[in-house]
Amino acid sequence: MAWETRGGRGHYYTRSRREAGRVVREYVGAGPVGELAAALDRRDRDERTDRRRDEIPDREAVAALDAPMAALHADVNTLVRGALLAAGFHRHKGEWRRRRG
Amino acid sequence: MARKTAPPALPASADIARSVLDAKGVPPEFITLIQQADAGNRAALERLRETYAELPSIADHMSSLQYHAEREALGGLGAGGAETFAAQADRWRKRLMGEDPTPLERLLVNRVVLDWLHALRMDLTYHQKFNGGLSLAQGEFYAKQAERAQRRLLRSTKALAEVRRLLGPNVQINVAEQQVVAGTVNTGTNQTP
Repeated sequence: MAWETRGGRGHYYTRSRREAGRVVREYVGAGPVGELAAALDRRDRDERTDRRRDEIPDREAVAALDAPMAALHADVNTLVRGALLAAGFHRHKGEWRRRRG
Repeated sequence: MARKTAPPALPASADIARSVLDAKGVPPEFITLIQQADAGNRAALERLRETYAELPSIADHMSSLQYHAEREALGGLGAGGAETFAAQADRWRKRLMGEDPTPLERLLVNRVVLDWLHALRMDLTYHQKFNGGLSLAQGEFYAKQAERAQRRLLRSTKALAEVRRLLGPNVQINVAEQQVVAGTVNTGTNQTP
C-alpha cells in the first residue's frame, strides 16, 4: 500500500496484490477516499501485528503438559477421599472428622 | 435419606481395583461408590473398605503413572537441568516419605514431588519467555500457568500434611517458602532437601 503521484498531479492511494504470480497494483483513489482507504488498511495491519504478537506459540504444548497433571491430581484426590472415608472419617464443613459410633 | 435406600448394585471390590489398574485412572463407578459411602450408605462404605485392601497395588500403578509424568516434566528442562532436578526430586521424595510410608503416603509424596517439578518447569518457562520479550497477553498466559502449578503444589502439600495428621504422625513440610503443618499454612523458610 502506498501513495503515488501520477503525471505530477495529486497523490493516489494504491494497493498491491498478487494475481497468478504477478503483482497487480490497484488505484484506490485520491483525496478523502484515498485517506479513508489508507486509514482502514493501517488499522487492519496494526490488528494483524497485535494478533501475531499475542499468539502463544506453545499453547498446545503447555496444555498437553498440564492436562495429565490435572487428571492425576483428581485421581489421587479421589483415592485420598475414599481412603479417609474407609478409615472412618467424614467431611464436615470442609473438614475431615472421625465418624462417631 | 441415603441410609434408608436399598444398597445399589455395585461392582465387586476386586473388579473396581482391576478397573483402576486397567483404565489408568479412577473409574466412574469407584467415584460413585465414594459418593454413596460419603452420603452414609453403609453397604457402599463396606465395599469401599474391601476395595482399599487393594490400595497397595493401585498405589503402585498410580506411582508408575506419576513417574512417567515426572519424566515428562523433566523433559523440558534440558539435559543438565533435568539431571540436577531429578536428583533434587529424589531427595525430596526420600525426605518426605520417611521410614515406612503407607501406600497412601507414597501416592501423596509422589504427587508433591511431581507438582514441585511441574511448578518449577512452568516457572522456568515463564522466566525464559519473559527474558525473550513478551506481549501483555503472552505474559499473562505464562504467569497464569506458573501460578496454577504453584497452587497445585500447595494443595498437594496440604493434602499430605492433612492425611498424616488424620492417619499418621504429625510432620512438618517446607516447600518453596510455604510451611505446611498438619493442614495449616504459615510463612516459613525454604528448605532444600
